[in-house]
Amino acid sequence: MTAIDVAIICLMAIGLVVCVGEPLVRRVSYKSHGREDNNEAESLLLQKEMLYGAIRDLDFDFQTGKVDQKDYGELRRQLEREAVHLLRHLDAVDPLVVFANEVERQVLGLRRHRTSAVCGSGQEACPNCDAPLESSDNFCPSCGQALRRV
Amino acid sequence: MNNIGGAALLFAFVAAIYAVVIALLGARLRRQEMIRSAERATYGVFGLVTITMVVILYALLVLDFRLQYVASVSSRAMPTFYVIAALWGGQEGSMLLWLWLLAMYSAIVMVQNRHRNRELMPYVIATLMTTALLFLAMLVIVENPFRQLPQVPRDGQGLNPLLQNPLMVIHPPNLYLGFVGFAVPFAFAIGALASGRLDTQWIRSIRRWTLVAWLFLSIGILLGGQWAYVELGWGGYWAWDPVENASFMPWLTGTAFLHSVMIQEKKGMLKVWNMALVILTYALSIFGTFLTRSGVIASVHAFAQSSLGPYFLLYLAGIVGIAVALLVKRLPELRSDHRLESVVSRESSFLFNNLFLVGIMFAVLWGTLFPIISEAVRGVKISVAAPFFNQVNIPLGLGLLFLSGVCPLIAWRKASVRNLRCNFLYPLSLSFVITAVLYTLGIRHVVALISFAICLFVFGTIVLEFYRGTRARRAVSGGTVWQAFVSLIRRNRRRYGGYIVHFGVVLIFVGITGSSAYQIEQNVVLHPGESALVGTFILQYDDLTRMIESTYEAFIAKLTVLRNGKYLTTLYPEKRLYFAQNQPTTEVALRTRPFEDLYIIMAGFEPSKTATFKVFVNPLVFWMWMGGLVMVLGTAIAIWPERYPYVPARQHTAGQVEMTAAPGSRL
Amino acid sequence: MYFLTVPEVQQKLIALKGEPIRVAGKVTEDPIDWDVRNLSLAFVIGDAQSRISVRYKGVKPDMFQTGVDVIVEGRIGQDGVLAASVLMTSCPSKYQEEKSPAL
Repeated sequence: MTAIDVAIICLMAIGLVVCVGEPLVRRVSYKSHGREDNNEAESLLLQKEMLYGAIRDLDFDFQTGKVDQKDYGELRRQLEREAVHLLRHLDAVDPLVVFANEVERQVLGLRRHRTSAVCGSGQEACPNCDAPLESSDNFCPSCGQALRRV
Repeated sequence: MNNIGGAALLFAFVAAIYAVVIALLGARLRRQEMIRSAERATYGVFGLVTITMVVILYALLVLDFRLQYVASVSSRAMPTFYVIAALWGGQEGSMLLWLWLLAMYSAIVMVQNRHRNRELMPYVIATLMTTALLFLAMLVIVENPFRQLPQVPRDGQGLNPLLQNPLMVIHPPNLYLGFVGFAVPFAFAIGALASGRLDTQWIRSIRRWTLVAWLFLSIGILLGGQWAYVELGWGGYWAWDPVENASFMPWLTGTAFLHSVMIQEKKGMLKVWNMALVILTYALSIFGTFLTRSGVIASVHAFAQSSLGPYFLLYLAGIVGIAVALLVKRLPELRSDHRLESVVSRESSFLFNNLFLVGIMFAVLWGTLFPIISEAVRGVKISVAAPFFNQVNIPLGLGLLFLSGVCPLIAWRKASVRNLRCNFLYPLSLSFVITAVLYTLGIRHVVALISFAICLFVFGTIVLEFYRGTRARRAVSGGTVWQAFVSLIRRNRRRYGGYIVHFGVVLIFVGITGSSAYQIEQNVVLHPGESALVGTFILQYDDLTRMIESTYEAFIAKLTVLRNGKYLTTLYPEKRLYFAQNQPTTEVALRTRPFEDLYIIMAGFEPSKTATFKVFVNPLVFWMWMGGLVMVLGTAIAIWPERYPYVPARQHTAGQVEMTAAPGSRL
Repeated sequence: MYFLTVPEVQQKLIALKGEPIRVAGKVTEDPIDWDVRNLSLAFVIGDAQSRISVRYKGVKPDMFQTGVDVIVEGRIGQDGVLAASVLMTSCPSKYQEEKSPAL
């Protein structure tokens, strides 16, 4: 065991300890990626990917003649329904979307307040989101709620 | 120098222990910095093991015979190329290679997941480093490559001449790249189970790893077969030898996993099944490594008893035990998201595919283990040989092949039966017509006919798929046929890469069928000047000459090969006597053509130069190796990264905001 | 097919006649007869206590010599000789027991 051997071995040991110990000493600056609260959103997003993939596959299968027109129509409608349902769910969960919707709601509320102050009552409001409505509206232009018209 | 290597190995051992402990601790205490430290330790293990490898390599290149390992696998006369290859020519060295590959893979995994899968990583690290510990422990304690000899010999033993062959040089590394590769999916499976993040994210993360491991394992198995064919001189390439089986079994379950994973990705089904498959594949890889070394089953490969068995068994029992316990614990959370919509769907055909593959695996496992079991239970060792394996696996294999032809014709979720019947038409007709032609040409072997028929059918379905896909592509975006074809493959790499792999498998089946059903084997005894007729070949024995090379003495027979009076080639089967080993080897003389191989060995000769030759005519073997190349091509296409890769979930949140900035807009 | 050692075969010799068996043993010092023309190899496996004569039709494996461990498959005929159809020698094992290198 020569002196050089000993030197290199010591160097290796020190290098290892430094490399391994550095994160422990420097503690603070590591971002925590554990956004556990976002788990639901992430799993919904994965499901969305799956659904879109399924729709793509279906279209391709139809184009290459493995599914006939009738089955294709049925399956696609079914998938589209699932997708819409999923997207609504996503929007309800996504914090940014929730925030955006909340802002919308408040703005509309303010507007309506002002409008009714100016124009008086008789102005219709959407039963769902309180947006102002025209008398000819069959659907609320803001949230899409179907309005029953006699 | 060697001391540095020995120290590096020891430090790696310590670092690996540290990594396991701190990773698990960090997971429990939820301290990111501990997990980062474990990552550093993983990098450290890689660096240290690399140092060890370099030191051994250096010792080999300078022929440092103080080291027992170097003395046992190298010699002064050996060409430098093989001295380097001798690194994995012996027990200690090959284990070091396994360890190094594992360390390298682990380091790559660390880099890939710096900002991903954070919840899984502690357990991934712990699993990978525990495996590293297995090998480190064996290397440090039992089979230390730095062991020194009491007396320095003048020359080393040298590598056995049968191993001094390019094929044998790359066969072990390939196999190891496969075996070790499966450790990564396994580690992620454990990570998913332990952390509770059981959604499909872990599967997406390991998709390429699984493909890469599978690819190398496939190549390794084919290379092993090719080596046996070209070097061992018995005219065949596969003997259902326990060690061959040991590499085949993880390949079978790995293939099953590759397919069933797609069902989980698309429909969130088969979650428990996939977990079980990954655990099983990895367990079989370790078991295979163990079988090769412990001599538990007497085979052509391993007679020697070794003290490593207990280490492997302990590790295997431990790791599988933990995996199964975790799986059971998470069982309630692994429910399927969807049901199977229709029996006639691609999902169900994938399920059948899995059943076949796992069925073959169990047959092989049974045949391989039965001797041990019978010895343990009844005290009598009953051996299981090729007939059993062939009887069971041929029907299953053909069924599987047929399935691979049917499956592309079926749609995901639910196939329209009417369309299915239409789609069957062309490939079935092709198959029927050509098989009828083969029959009239004289092919009467029943199993061979069935096999060829199925091969043709599958080939037909693959061609049909490419044709229809190209046509659909053209209908959508125009362009020439070639442009549509290329764009089709580019946009569906997985699917069409997979079809190409299937085509490779078809070619392999063609090769196996031809060489199994129609092999000609003949012994001919000839005096110099005499000729013999074997198959359609006329072999004229010209002479026997003796040559002395640096490491061996050779007796070379000269055979002129003719057919229908025309000269084809000259073949030189040899018998060599290597001085160092004092043992003869037989060199095969081989003429490979797409239609058939002419394979000759010189079984022996007399002083009068009368020689006995064993001649084989092996039809279609060429296509086996071709099929292997095609499989590699197909897998490369499937693995190739997309230019616009799947965007991880986090970024989608931003996209989501953009989309809903205009309220009321949805899809 | 039973897989036996030479002593075991010796014990059950009568019962095993005509049965397909696989036997593991070491090639003894007895003379080995290798007929190249007929590809017929005659040798003895076993040890000091028990032995079996074997006659194998086929190519003599390269590693075959006195002292080598082999596995044979075949049937024992009325003459007590094992007519072997399969003969395997140990592979050029990389994982051999430690041998002292040539000095």
